[in-house]
Amino acid sequence: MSGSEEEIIQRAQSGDKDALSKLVNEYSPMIYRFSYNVCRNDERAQNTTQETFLSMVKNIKQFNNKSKFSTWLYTIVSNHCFMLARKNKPGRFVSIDDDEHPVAENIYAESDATPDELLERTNVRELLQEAMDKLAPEYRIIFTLRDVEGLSTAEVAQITDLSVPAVKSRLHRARAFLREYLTPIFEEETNG
Amino acid sequence: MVRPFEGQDVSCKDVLDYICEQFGDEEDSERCQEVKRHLDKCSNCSTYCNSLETMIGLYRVAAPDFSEDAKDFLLQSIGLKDPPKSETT
Repeated sequence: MSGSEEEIIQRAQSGDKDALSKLVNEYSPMIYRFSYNVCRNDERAQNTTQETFLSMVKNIKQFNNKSKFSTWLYTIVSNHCFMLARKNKPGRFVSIDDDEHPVAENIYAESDATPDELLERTNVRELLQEAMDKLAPEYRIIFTLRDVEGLSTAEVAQITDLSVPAVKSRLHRARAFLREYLTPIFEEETNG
Repeated sequence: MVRPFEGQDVSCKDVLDYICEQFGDEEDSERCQEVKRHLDKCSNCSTYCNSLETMIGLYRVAAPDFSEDAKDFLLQSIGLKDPPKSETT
């Protein structure tokens, strides 16, 4: 993005359309990728991306530079994703809130293939989607922010308004659930 | 300073819990160093850790790119860009 981001945000807060467009151009790939990973559907991801930037345009004067601009946008998109997921598929997620789903200790099979190579195989995309579909939105959002987007645990806590231990706990359960659900991918590799 | 896991054996369960909780965090901490030492000698935990990394990698590469056309459509839909003028015959 040309010019300092702070300057562009200040112009955007004054209603400068060119500055607002620059922010959209800069951050839309990040917001779409996050939305896609949470929504698991291109159309829903595009709609959520649109809703997020409409909110950005409407509320940008409320951004106070106390956090990174990306953190502020992640907060907006997380809220939109959470509302959409709850509206579309209420009550059909697996429960991983308790110790019924501890870390499985018997799933040691691993793959030597890279993620790109694995993704080319039949049913891998479908399995990734199935696994994420079964994960409740509050877990899905935390896994996506922390592991897929690579944010720090503290940033995820800020975005989701949770404590750091609560984020770690949900992340632990989300990873364990997804890893267990995706075991066939690793077993296929091990068995040849 | 009390060292993590001091006075107790590090079990595979401890390691798996710790990896799941702290993966990527505080890599230089004493506790993490203990875990790394365990990983070096425990193929089960090492394999599980590697498979977690692969799983995360799969989700990272599975999302499609946001195309320039999609960006244009987004800018138009939120009123920041005029739609292309339709050709008149």
